[in-house]
Order: sequence, then structure tokens, then C-alpha cells
Amino acid sequence: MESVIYLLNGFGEVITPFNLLIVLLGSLLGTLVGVLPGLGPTSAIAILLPVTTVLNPAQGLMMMAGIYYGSMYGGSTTAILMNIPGESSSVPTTLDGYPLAKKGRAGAALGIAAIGSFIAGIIGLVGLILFAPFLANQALKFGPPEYFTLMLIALLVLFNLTGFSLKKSVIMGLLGFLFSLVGIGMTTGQPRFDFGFSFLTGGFEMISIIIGLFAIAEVLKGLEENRSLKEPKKPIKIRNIYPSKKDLKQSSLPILRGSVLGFFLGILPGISATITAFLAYDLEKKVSKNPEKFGKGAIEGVAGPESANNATSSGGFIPLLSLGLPSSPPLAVLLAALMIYGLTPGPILFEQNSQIVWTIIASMFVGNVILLILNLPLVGLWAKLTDIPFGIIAPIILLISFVGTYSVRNSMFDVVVAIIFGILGYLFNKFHWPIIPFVLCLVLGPKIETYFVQSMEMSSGKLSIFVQRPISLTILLFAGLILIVSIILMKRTKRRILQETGEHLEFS
Amino acid sequence: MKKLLMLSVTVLMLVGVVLSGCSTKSATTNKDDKGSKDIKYPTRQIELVVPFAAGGGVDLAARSVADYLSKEWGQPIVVTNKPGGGGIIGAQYALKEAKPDGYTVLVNNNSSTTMYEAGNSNPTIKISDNKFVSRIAAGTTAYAVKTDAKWNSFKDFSEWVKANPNKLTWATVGPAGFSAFAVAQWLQSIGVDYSKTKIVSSEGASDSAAKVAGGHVVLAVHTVGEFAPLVEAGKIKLLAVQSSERNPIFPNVPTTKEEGLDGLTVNWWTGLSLPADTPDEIVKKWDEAVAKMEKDKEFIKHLEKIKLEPAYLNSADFSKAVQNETETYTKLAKETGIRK
Amino acid sequence: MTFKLFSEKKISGFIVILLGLLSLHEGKTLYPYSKNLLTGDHVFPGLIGILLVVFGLALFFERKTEEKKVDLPTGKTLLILVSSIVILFFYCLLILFTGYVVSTLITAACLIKLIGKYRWINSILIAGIVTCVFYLLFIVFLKIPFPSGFFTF
Repeated sequence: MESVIYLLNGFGEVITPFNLLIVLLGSLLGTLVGVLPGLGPTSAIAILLPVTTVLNPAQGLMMMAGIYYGSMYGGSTTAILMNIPGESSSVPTTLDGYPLAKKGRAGAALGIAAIGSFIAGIIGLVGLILFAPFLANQALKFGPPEYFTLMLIALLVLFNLTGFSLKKSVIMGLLGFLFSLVGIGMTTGQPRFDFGFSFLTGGFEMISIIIGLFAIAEVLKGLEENRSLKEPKKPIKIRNIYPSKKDLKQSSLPILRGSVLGFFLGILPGISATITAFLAYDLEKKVSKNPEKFGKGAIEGVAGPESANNATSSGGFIPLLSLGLPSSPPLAVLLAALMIYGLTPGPILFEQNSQIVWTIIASMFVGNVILLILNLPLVGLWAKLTDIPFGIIAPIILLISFVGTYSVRNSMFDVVVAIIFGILGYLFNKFHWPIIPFVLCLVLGPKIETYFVQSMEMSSGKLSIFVQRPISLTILLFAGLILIVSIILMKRTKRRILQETGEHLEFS
Repeated sequence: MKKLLMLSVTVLMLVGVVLSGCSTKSATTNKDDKGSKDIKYPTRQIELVVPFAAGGGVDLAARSVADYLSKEWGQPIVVTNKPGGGGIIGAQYALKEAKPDGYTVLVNNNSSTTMYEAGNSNPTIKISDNKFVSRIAAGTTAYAVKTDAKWNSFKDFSEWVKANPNKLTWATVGPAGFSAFAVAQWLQSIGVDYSKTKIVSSEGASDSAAKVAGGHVVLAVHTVGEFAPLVEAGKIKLLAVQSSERNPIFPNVPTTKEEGLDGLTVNWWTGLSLPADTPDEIVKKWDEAVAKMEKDKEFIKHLEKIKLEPAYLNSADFSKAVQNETETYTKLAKETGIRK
Repeated sequence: MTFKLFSEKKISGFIVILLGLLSLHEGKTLYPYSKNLLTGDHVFPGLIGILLVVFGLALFFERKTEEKKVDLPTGKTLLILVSSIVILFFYCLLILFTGYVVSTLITAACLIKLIGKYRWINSILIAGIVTCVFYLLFIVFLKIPFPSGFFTF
């Protein structure tokens, strides 16, 4: 019950005019970036990071959460209106959302997506409040060996997820690891991989690599496709913004099913929003009385996956906040952001900064409400945004990326790194090398190394410590089980993406 | 044709920019030469470089200084965090790359100065690269163990360590970090071989504290402020504080001297330094301003809030203290094998 | 099935092996700092080095050649791609000398001209608006300490 009191305190913190404004601004900015074609939550969080750094940690993170939710919603807007999914988790939304839009019912689809996301977000948050303190309580018992096994397993599961050959995924992961090692070593205090250059002693800044790989590479991709020359896809006129009573009635059960499914699978590390969104879509098709409607504009086909998508994202906060385990790239960026603020997710966070954690959780509730209130009437405006020509958007994205990378450490070296990784990201994309394992290893690499070395220091160099401690052994056994489940689900999702889009899409 | 025109305009603009830049620069240097006795300082924005991440002790102290002095001087003071490399990246930037004109000031602590020099036989940044301005604040060292640990006094604990040196696991941030020197000095005073104890590397004070709370290491040594949240939550307890008087935050915790251990001196501090060839007038300006600041009630209250103690030392005393500390630590590091 | 020396797999395999060797070398130089084989800063460079070499070799000698054809951009597209990257690098340099406002204005104008293919006058106009907004947001409101260059703004 303690957590309810904490949460109420958190609400008290959030509901001040300034904090509300911050949440509102975060949601708006997030939606703004999410609506831009090709930019999903991962890039949105990475390039908007500098905007949050003037604030104190709690407010910065409130804004960050708003950006995250907002960009997810923005992504579904482009999916419905233009048939362009911002992230792979919006692919199922396009299947029925775009046909609905063509029929002139874009408003209904967007409205249902907003409502579905809202309900799923709330359900996910309730789960977060119930589970997180429990996990955090147990988590102090987790020592370095436990964390090491946990992270290693999470990585293995995530590797498997990319939809590319395992060999390429592993190599990319190893390379991510390699880049994370540059800088001062933890146990000796000696610089590693610096080759005598002083600018390398500080290591690479994760955020600048992520901005390069996601935002700059995306712009280069757009340049190659000559998006500026092509007549922009005419977004469909939105006649009626609000969904009808009939729509609401039809989608109430799908929203519920999608949320529950998305949340419970989302707690498990390695089950991403893409997986649950597809599962929810197929589930709706299966239980529907007239499955032939799907793909031609069934409102249930929007409600189910959109809710699952959002519930999974909320569910992902549980392993992130209580154990420090990100289950998807946007959460990995969020983890990196938390570390910039000097907040290391994990049991310590709940012990030492519980006020901040509960304020953030409360702000997520508020953010969801704001998004709902905001998005229904603003749908038309967001749709207009998609009209801005690429020739203006691309330079703006590049300039913001520049500021974003510079401001993390106020270092020009980081900017150069970001540009180089922009080129690399473009080439990786061209040659079908997955970047997600790279990013995850880059973020988790230092932690995995720390936990491994700490374990070895505790056991005087005996590897048996990992199976001798009961919790660590349990994790290893349990992990085997999750691995098998996720492999099966992943195969399925890979096949479904191929069916629906006709290409091997990297997903997360 | 149009393009060519534009290009030439741009080039012209650039040339103009460069020229005007040069002219303003030479003008200011002239002025400096003439008015060397009573210089006008500061006349523009000052950058306060924190070589650590935002939110830590040094950062919070730097922000209080920036708050106070920007009002005092009527010039903006921006705090810039340049973390990485154990404080060396930021120090390199402020002391070696920036102009020694007093507009880039470094906020240091002992882990990036005295301890770094003592622990490294070949340091990138030396003590002599600094011109120490004044000490700002200090934090009291405390020894923490798990709440349900069997020792109830620091004396008991020291006896136990004497009997079982190889059972003592303790956490440190970096091999030549703050905790390492504190523990080394303590072990030396009770006659225990440093290399027999087990060192576990830690990511920071909160990581060390959590490892003690979870029972993964026996001892952590950091400042009182850094331990406060977990002590208040009842997860860890403090055995002793290392200061002449008891700490106002935890008045029940005895000092190391009360526990019969004299001569333990490792304590945390943060202070300002400038590049070695900065004009003395500027150093004096800063020192005078800081001296005034340390008497300000608002400022002292601010330090209390971030759980630090005011510990002002003027330029001469500060430099001397740093020298002494470096000598002590270098001796300690050589004897215990910390120095690499 | 002809043997191709410069296929994607050969080149990437080769690079991966090189990086692996580099990592191994770094592990070796760090080894003397630690007492134990499994504790210390050399462990992960060594481990990752070994794995990279193994996987690099596997990639290099992989039999299957179901490589998809990858079309790299040519001609005008390549030119645009390369010049935008060059402009960005140039921006990094320029900002050191002229500060944020001037360099951003020039960079934005060039990029908008290059990517959007507007007329110069329009490009500069749009760039002016963008720079103003960015200046207010990043410098005035967020106080990001960019190098100030020759100007005080």
C-alpha cells in the first residue's frame, strides 16, 4: 500500500502549473517528431535530449516520458494517414488504418488509436505500480553475478529478434561492445583503446552514436530516395475527427484484449512491442465474426494492435526501472538518458530516489491524459505537418541532431562521431547489417563488463559463482524458457512482417 | 552564374568575419597590457567547468557558486559538465585547451588532483598545471556496513579486520579513488596488509552503498551526504565519521578519533582552479569574491541542503594544503601498491 | 561459382578480423595491470577480440553466396549525399570560428538549397527563420555553451 501513498505524493509534485507545462511540452514535441516520416521514438528521445537538460532530473525525465509517449502516438498518425510506419511496431496499424483513411474515416481510426493507447497506457501503468515495488524490494538481493546473468540472457534474446542472420547480429553486437570499451577502464583507471589520443580517453558518448545511427542515417536514406523530388503522398482529408458510438462499441473489447496481452508479454525481457502488436492483430482477426473485413478497414484491426503496442511500452518500464534492463531500443536510449542524469535504474533508484521515480510514474498518467485531450482535436494539425516538404525537414533534423550531440558533453568530438556514425548507419542499412544489437550492446556493454568483473573480484576469479548462488541459477534456468518462447514468437513475427510488407524489415 | 555570385558573397562574408574577429582580439589584448594594475574583470560570460557528471557533489557545489557569483558580478556564469576519464577530460579542457584569461574556471576535487597524481606514475594533468584559487566545500568521510552486520562499533570492526583481513571486501571507484586512499590509510594505522583485502570496483557512491546494503561487499567508504539516503532507509549503518567533531546530520555516529584511531585524514573537498599562467590579479579577484561568498547565509544554507560543509581556504593555504595532501598520498600509494 | 575477392562478405569479414585483432592487442597491453586472468580491464577486450576474430573468419569463409544485389547511389544522388556530409563537417569547423548564429545560418542555407532545391534567396530566408528559432531555443532558453568564436552572440 506504501506505493499508493508514494504515487499520490508523486501526483502532488506533477500537478503544479510548471510541471504540467513540461509534460504537455514533452508530449507535443514527441508527437511532432514522431509525425515526421521515418523518425520513431528512438530518434525522438535521442535528439530531444538536450531540450530536457536545462531542467532538474525529475522534470527532465517527466518530459522524456512525455516525448516517448508522444512519439509513439505520432508514429501511428503517419501509419494511418500515409501508410508509413514510424517504427516496425506500427506496421499492424497500417493494415487497417490506411484503408480506413482511404474510406474517409481517418478521424475514426486516429480517434480509436488515441483512445486505445490511452486505456492501454493506464492499464500498463497500474501494472507498473503493482509490480515495480515488489521487484525493487527483491532487487537489492541481486548482486553482480545475478545482474550479469540477467543481462547476458536479455541480450541473447534481443539478438535473436532482429530478423537478420544470427551471425551478422552477433558481429554487430560485438562491435557495439567494442565501442563501449573505449575510455578509462574501471578497475585499473587506465585509458583503453585511446592509441595516445586524448580525445579518446573519455570514450564515445552513446547518445551521439545513437543520433548518428538513427536520425542522421535516416536523413541520408531519405536523400537517396529523393524524397524531396517526389510529390509528397497526399494525406487524406479528415472529415470527422471523433469516432462514432458504433466504432467505440466495436473496439472496446479489442482494446482490452490488446492491453492485457501487451502488458503481460511486455514485462518479459525481449518481447517487444512489434511482437505483441502483431499478436494482437492476429488475435482480433481470429476472434472476429467477419475476418474478411480485416485489411479492408476494420476498426478492430486498429484498436487491438495500437493498444498492445502501448501496453507493451508501459510494461517495458518495469524491467527498465527496477532492474535497469531495456527491452527495446527506445528504452535503451531512455536508459542512457537516465544515466546522463546520474540516475542508474535498478533497485538503487527506488531506494535512493523513490520520490523521483514516483513523480515520473505519476507524470506518465498525466501525460496519457494530456495526449488524449490533445490528440483528438489536433489530429488535423498533425496531419498537416506531414505536408512539410522533405527539403526543409531534412536540414532541420540535421541541425537539431548537431545540437543534440554537442550538448550532452559539450564536445565537438561527439558531433564528428555522430556524423561518422550517420554514414556508417546508412551503409549498415544498405548492406542489411542490423543496428539494433549494436545499440543495445553499446548501452549495456559497460554494465555487463562491470558486473562480470565485480563478480570475479568477489569470487577471486572463479566462474562457478554464477551457478553457486541460488538467484543467479534460477535466472539461468528461467532464461532458457524465455529464450525458447521468444524464438518461436520471433519466427512468427518475422514471417508476418514479410507477408505484410514484402520485405525483411529490421524490427525491435 | 547566380551560384557563383552567392559563393563569392559568402566568401567575402567569411573574410569579413575573420578580419573583424582578429581586430577585436588585438584590441582587447592591448587594453589588458595597459591596465594591468586594476583590471576590469569580469566583462563577459564565465564558464565554470565541472569535470564530472551533473548531479554529483562537485556539480552541485559548482552550481551554488555560479548562482551566487553571477549575481555578485552581474555577469552570467555557465556550468559546463565535461565528464569522463575520471575528471581528466574536463581538466584538460579547462587548464590546457582554454585561454588562461580567467573566463574558463575548473571546479576540482581530490580524486582528480591529489589522488590522481599520487596514484599515477605518469599523470596527464599534473598538480603544477593548476593555479589553485580557493577551497569551496568539504564532505566528511564515513565508514558504512550493512544494518544487520555484527559489528556495533568501529573498534570492533577494526579488530575483526585485523583477525580476518582476507574476509574484508570493500568497494572503490577506481583503483586510486577516494575510498582506496581512505581505506589504505585506515588499514595502515591498524597494521593490516592492504593487498590481503578484496577490492571490488564500483561505479560510484550509490553503487557502493547498494552493494553494502545487499550484502555483496562488507564495507564502503564515502562522504556522509552520499550515504544519507540508504542510512535513512535503514539499509546500512555508519560505524564512524572521519572528522574532528561529530557530524550534524548523524550526531549518534562517533568520530574515528573517539574510536581510538588517530591520524586518519582522508576527507573529500572541492575547490576552484585556473590554468597555471593565469594573471595573479584575476586569481585575487576570484579569491576575494569566494571569501565573501563563504560568509553569505544563503550560500551556507545551500551547501547544507546538498549535504556539504563550507571549508574555505584562500589561495595560499589551499595550494599548501594540496601540496601536503599530494605528498601524504603519494607516500601512502607507494607503500600500499596503489600507485601504478 | 566464381571466387570474388571483393564481395561484401570478404570485405566485412576482413574488417571484423582486423578489429578483433586490435581488441586482442589492447587486451594484451592491459594484462600487466591486473593480478588475475579473469579480473581486470583486459578481460573484455580479450574476450571480444577472440569472438570477433572467430565470427570474422566464419563470415570470410562462408560458402553460401545468396548475397542480394545492393545498389549504391550514383551520379547526382551520390553528389547530394556526399556534399551534405561535407557541409556538416564544415559546420563543425565553422562554428569554432564564427559561433553558433553565423555558422548555423550558412549551414542551414546550404543544406536547404542542396536538399530542397529552392532558389538561393528562398533558402536563405528559410534558413534565417530556422536560425532565429534555434538561437532563441538553444542559446537563449537552453543556454547550451557553444563556442562563441569572434562574436559575442
